[in-house]
Amino acid sequence: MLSVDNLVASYNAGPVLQGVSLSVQAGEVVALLGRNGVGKSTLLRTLVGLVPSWNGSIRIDGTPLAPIATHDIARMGMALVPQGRGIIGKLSVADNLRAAMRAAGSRPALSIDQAIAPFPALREKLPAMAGTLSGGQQQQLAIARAMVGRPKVLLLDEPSEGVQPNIVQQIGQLVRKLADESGLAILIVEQNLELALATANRCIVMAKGRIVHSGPPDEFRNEAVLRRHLAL
Amino acid sequence: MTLQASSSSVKATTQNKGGLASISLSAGLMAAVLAYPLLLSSYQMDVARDALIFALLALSLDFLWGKAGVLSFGQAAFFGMGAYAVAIVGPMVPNDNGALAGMVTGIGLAVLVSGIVGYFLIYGGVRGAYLTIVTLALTLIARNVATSWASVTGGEAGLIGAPPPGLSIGGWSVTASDSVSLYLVVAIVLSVTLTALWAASRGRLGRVLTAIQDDEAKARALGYDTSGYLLAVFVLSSGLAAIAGGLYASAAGYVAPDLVGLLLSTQAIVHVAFGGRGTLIGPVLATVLVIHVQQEVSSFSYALWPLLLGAFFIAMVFLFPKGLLPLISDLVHRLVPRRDRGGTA
Repeated sequence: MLSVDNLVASYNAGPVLQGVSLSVQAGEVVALLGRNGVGKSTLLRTLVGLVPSWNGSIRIDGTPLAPIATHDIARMGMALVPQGRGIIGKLSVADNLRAAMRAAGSRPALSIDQAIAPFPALREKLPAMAGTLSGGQQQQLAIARAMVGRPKVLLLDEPSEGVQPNIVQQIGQLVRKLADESGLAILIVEQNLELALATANRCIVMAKGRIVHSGPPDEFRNEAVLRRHLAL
Repeated sequence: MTLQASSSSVKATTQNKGGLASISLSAGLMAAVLAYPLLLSSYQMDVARDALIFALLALSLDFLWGKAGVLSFGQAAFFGMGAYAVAIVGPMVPNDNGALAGMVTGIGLAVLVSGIVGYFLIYGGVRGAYLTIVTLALTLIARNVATSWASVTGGEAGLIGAPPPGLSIGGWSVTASDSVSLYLVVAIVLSVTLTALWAASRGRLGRVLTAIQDDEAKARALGYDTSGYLLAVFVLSSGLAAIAGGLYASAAGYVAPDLVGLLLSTQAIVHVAFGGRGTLIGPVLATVLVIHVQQEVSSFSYALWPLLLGAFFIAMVFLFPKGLLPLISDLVHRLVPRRDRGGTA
């Protein structure tokens, strides 16, 4: 579904991504692990075209994305839930969902009802301003909003950040369910190792702008492996 | 769960009611402001007409600055294009269609210039203060053209003989040359523009612009060509400023380069900030109020006005930085107990 080959990208000074190659299949959840500052968020931003790539290729279903603008990449089915959630605080919950319908491109968008079906807590908040929601609800809204455009690839940047533990667990189950039921390819960047290991089919480790290791989640339950790759 | 759900639906209904109340209040206030000068002398009506024209200019800026977050000093340049086009092209056109032809030319020129300049800037990724500085340069250039290209613009002296608004089709023709009809033409153009911008801001366009103001990258990741939206708003806002300029020249009968200066752009910015950025009707009411007070103050001391305006603006930044309309709405919310407004405490 998503395949990235030898991707090089940078903000301004010096490349942050130095030749990243990875792939995520339909229905697969891949957890991207690594210490702070190795370029995980930059990778997600590069995949949606918010950071320019200088070399390498990004493909969805074999279609290359490189010279395409961010809004067209979104319409082709790549949805990003950025760190800090990225909801629009001054719009109501319903309007946040409506605003995402454009991302469907030529595919039919989900209705508001369909989008919030997995999140019963959001139903009664539909007229409320999104900025007034709790951290967990904002995260749920951000995921619901990403799903409105019926994406093929979902990129999640630290969905557990600032969210209370029981909601984190719910988000983990939901991510797993989205991949299993909608055949989404999901790439998740997550500091919460428990959440990452519980949801992922496969973990990849990034260091100094490259993917340095790939393996099943169980491998990362081993203390020695963790220390070697993540210095934990 | 049920209780929470019903309380939230009550809240939603209350919000709708509150929205409806504030819409009718605004519409009523606007109607009163527009109708009042019709009772006055023709001189006062002319002053009020000019106030409405500058209100239209402020409105054009508020759509760009308040709704899309782009602060522009360029409104005077586009106002000037509209005004000069009516004064230059208008007299060349036979019958009573001169003002209309000039207006169309002015709008076309403003759309062309803002489209070309805006395309390269906005798609080039220029945003924020840098974009503002370029719009400032636009006004400086426009002012220079108005004073230096004397063979066309009349130089420092300006041009007289701009035709009044009119329309002539076949043998039938109508012109607005007396104070009342000129006032009505301006009032109608302003009301239609205000209503159209307000309606546009409530739908999808408003949502996208709010998203862009919140974080442009986020809006792009939601599938919106944000540069395209910003360019469209920039061009539309410039076209509206040109309409205001065209109306001014057409109603006053002359243009002078003073009109195209930075002072006019700055005034429009003050009117928008004073009325409440992004409220659309706020800047319109603020312009009318400021120009009215200016008339009163200037009638007993000409030098006092700039001092007062400066002092007032500084005080405003400290006391109610969001502007007049948000201040009034905050006061109403504070003074009227929540239960009286039907809210759930």
